[in-house]
Amino acid sequence: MNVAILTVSQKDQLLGQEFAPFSHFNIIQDLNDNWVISEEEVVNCTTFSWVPSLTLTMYEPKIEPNF
Amino acid sequence: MEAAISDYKNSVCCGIDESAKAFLDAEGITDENVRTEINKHVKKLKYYEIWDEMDVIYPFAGTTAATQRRNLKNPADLDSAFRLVFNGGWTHSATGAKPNGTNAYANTFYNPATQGFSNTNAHIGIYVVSPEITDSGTRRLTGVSTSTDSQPIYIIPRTSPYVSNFGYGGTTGPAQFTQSDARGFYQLNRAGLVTKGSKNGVIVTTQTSTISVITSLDFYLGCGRISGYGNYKYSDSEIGYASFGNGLTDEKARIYDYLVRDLQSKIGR
Repeated sequence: MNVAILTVSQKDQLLGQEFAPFSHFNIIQDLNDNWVISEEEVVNCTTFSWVPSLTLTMYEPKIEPNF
Repeated sequence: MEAAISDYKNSVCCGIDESAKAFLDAEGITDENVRTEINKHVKKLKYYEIWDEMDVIYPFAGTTAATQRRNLKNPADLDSAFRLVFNGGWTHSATGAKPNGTNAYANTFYNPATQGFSNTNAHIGIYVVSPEITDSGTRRLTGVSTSTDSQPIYIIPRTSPYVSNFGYGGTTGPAQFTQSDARGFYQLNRAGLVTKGSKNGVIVTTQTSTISVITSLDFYLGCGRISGYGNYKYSDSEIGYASFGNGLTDEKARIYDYLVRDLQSKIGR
């Protein structure tokens, strides 16, 4: 799974916004607390011209707790 | 017998169902086969008295987020109508909606605590078009639970050697079963003091554990939710149909299974 790492400023621009009709960004943090969006959001984005140009990298997920 | 057959035919075969039409027009579905089959599906749900048991039905009838978001029971573009809001990396196509297993979820705005789920009543139905790739991940198609993940409500479909789970409260863990093919229609029904998990119309788990807390969180499709923690165990199983409502009897659950899987077949899934 690939994701794109965002700067804090980029994250703030995308928060609460759509990347395509009726599809909202869901910005999450990876293992290193970077803000990231998924490859699907990058590739299918029609609302921010700079998003499709973001570099994709392998996703390192946070380790989820076992409750 | 002839009267019964005639009654069925008259009720189901012909004419436009106004509920189906309202949904199809609002959703912008133009495919004539899909329109025909959804119309028939609704008429059959009403004939078999399953329609009124459901609060929410998502048939994922279109091919985009715009045409896969509305509730067949109430197609208004409102949170209060339980219209889906898609977030993160979903892939929409004619076969359904596939979350990416990383950050994709759809808010149903359907809170089981305020919509009638109880120790004697619950229904969740989900049709899996293609199962998750990472079977070891215990990914949740949907679900809510308390801050310690106790009293959970969830469905986790997996392929053997990993076990699949139906969770509805209890202190002994979820009810489990194994299967070689995770595609198909899953139902969690509680119509009394027993939770019955079924797969393709066959009851595969029963559980008599009490659920003492119905976690007050909206169901998301594509992941579970833990109170105070957030989204949990994102799934990448493609969904072709989903429903929430009142617990079905065994007979109605069998009929509902047939109707849902017949619809999937007729629209090419």
